[in-house]
Amino acid sequence: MAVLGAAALELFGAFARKPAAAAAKDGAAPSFPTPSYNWTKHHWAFGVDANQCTACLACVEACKLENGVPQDPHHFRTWVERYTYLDGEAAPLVDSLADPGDIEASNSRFVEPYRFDQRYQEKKVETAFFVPKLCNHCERPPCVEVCPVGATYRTEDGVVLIDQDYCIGCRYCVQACPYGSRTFNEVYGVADKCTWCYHRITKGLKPACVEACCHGARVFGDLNDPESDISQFLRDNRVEVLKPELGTHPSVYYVGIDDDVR
Amino acid sequence: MPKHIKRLIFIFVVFAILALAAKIYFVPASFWVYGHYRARSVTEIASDAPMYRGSHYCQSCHRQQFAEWSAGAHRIVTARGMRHGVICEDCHGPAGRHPLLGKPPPPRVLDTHKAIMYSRYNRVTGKMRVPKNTVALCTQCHEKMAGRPTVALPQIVVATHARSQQCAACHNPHTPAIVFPAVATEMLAGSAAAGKAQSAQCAACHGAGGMSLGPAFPDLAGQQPAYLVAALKAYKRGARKAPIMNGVAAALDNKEIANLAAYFSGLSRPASPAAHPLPAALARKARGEACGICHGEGGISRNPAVPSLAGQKEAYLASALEAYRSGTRKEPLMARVAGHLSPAEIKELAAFYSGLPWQAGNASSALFKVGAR
Repeated sequence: MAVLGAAALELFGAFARKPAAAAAKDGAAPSFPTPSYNWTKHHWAFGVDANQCTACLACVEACKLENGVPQDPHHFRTWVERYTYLDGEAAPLVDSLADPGDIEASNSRFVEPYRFDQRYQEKKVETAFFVPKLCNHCERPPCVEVCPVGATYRTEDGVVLIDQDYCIGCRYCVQACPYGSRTFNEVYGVADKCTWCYHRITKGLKPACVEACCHGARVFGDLNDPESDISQFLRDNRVEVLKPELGTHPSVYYVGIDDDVR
Repeated sequence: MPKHIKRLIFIFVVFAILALAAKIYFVPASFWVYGHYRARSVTEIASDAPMYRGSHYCQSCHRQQFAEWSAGAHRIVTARGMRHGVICEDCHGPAGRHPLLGKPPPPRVLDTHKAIMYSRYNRVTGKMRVPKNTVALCTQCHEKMAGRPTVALPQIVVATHARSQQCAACHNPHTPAIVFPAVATEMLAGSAAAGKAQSAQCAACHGAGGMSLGPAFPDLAGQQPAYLVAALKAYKRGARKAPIMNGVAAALDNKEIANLAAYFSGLSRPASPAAHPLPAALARKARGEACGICHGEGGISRNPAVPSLAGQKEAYLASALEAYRSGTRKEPLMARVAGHLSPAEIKELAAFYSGLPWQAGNASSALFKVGAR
């Protein structure tokens, strides 16, 4: 009977851990996840101004080097898409960095930086623009819902992260993401995604892509701070989000895109 | 209690204990602390070391480069204080722990990825990347392409802008704008007749017809007028130093300078001495690329602010290049170009351009088109 009693106690303890931890979060433990950063004090958001983007792809390069993303043109945490409307055509031509022509233009996949090719040089282009894309860090992320093991989650400060040590590599999340923001890292057998450079923003730095952006096309900041870059960006611009009809409530706000960007 | 029921209860209890033990053993300690995930992983991710350190990190050692960059167009600060622009690490690669251990911080879990992730970064010596192929680098932004915003972003077609020349030959990537000597407006008002009257004092050295009397004095006949104005003004200010010329130019006012420029630029020149062939590599460089872009393929400049070189005095050309190289004559663009030249190449180039034939009527025919850049 003693064994049974101990087991019951342990069972109760396992369920009781959650409220105990919640209490600690409010009072005893002042700062999580690091001693110098309290995630309850921040609410991060990201802005993209497609009018400013020149597709220099410094952001893509910075992201890959900062986060150890494979250098081949098929794994991206952030990437840039080109939307081109030829004269007289209603639908845009869309290409991205994994496009064979753009891989060709990048010369070598591993040594030279990425670049877009000049495929529209000879054609009459009515309008064209570039759209930087990244994880939207949804408030209701479908990728988190489908994870069978709890390897991905949304933090209190609004960032969707992957616990890559815990990921079993089932790729449900890669399929579930409506924005194509998740990739699968074949070398490790784990899913990979943008973290808004969580290791940087928790130290007061900007994400690497924002730091590297030459033209102010990427804006990042804390919504809790009314003078932050992103708060100014949201005040100054009429922003939109990608696929609002899905109810995912993205935290990446776009300016200068049209309905064909999804 | 019947025996078989006792057995059943026993089996249930054993199973429950096993299941509980498995749960305690397999579920990580921090799971469920904040939700259905390992809370510890948030701390792990937040503890990674940053690779990109920002330009102010570079400033602590590379003060001069930082100062150049701060003054140039590659740094942008908006009215609201948002900073962006081309940061050091956009071109030189991430700093990581650059000066200390020479190695970027290792990735947290992705150990086998090192070979891939740092293929563009020298992990062994820890030296930063100094881009050699500046054409590939600069055209990431500055190549003309549909969809690129044109405001505040100069865009070029490489084939017509620089041919196969590297961008860094003329542009300092830290302060990329090139300020050509401004075309003086007074030049247009200059009177050749009045200039002729004033030119008597010049003739002692530069010859009565603008053809100089000594190897160290440049010919002035047919020279580009705006260049002559700029040169005289530089002597007058003392920005260009030559004892005789400083004295002469100090006595001239702007009107007289314009008159002299109009007079000398309008003079024609006799035939040049024999041609001096250049080594093939240097000739290609000089004619098509480095020199030819501004000074014209045949040494006849089409930009009023840039001097023609064809048929000029050899010793004068050599001393001018040497002055640019040593910095005694200050012109950022020429300093960059001459900095790439060896003394032997300077000699060859001076001989080459002094031997090029003068083509009459070509001097100031074409106006410099700023928009053509």
